[in-house]
Amino acid sequence: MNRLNFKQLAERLSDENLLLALAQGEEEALSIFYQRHSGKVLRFCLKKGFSKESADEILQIVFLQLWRKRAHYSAQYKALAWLYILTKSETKDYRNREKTFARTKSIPAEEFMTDASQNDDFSPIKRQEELSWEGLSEVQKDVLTKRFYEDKEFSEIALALGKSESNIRKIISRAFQVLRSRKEEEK
Amino acid sequence: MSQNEFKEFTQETKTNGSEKNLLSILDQIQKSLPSIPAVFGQLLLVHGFSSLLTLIACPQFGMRVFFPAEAQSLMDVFMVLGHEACFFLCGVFYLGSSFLFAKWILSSDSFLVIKRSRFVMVMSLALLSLGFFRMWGDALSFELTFLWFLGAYLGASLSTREWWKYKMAASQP
Repeated sequence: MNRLNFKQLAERLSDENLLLALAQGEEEALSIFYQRHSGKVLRFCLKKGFSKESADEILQIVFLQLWRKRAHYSAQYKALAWLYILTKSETKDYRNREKTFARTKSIPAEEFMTDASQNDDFSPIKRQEELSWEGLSEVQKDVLTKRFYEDKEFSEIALALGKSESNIRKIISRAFQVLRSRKEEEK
Repeated sequence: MSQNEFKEFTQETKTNGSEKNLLSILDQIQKSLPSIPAVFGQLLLVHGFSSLLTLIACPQFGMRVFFPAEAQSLMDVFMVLGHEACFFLCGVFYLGSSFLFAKWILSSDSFLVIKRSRFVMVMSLALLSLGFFRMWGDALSFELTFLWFLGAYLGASLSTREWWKYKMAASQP
């Protein structure tokens, strides 16, 4: 049975069978499941007070988790209950990450941006040297530069570096932790 | 799970997620899969292990662990059907076993990569194996080599075939 035939079959499959096909590594099943139910995830996120951008990001995370956890799905679960639990858990995690990010972001980011705006001949590379991002890895420096000096979105950075958006957030968060602890040591 | 919230969640929506989001998800999935060379390396290791087990069943290699000396060996069983059939079945058994082992041992992501590049993987493994046999044994004729190759491809295809799709299709009204 080739790919084209499976697409025709998948459109007739129940949600539960689609997730079973997904468990076997069939990406087409994920696309059809997305077309059927992505709206439900978006509506849930918007109702929880997330912005459209955040809702889109959570939607991607939920469907990526659906793929990553595909082997854990069993026919005894209702497919929509499985999606609901994943969505709920990911929105909660996203909210927690946002809180952590906002806490760690406030100190260094503001300082960096003030420094940047006061300097007429500002260039990201020069600023990196002046700020002496000592202790940061090359990837962390790269991500911070892209985010705060080139004003790129998380999705753009993720695409450029071939990482997930949540991974980019983690890299930034860890970089801030390093900078904060260094600042405290200096004090 | 809040029943009301779940009920609300399951209600139909007018709009769906964008195509751009879906493409981004599929792209990230693609990037998360191991590379073909890495998977082929894993497959080679599994094939090495599987070969150790399968070749000791063949008296041509001087060992017949699974078959006592007085009993018929696997080769004897295949030879009942003739020399050509023996080569063909040897290919089916040898590569089929390797891919079955790979299915059990490797991660689902790695096996997915194998399924997607099945033809290249099977052919590369079969060619490498033939080269190895050539070093070990006698010269091979074109006809026998072709039959072995055909058997190897059939064995590997049967082992990697997605049988669940047929079952699912059959269960559809």
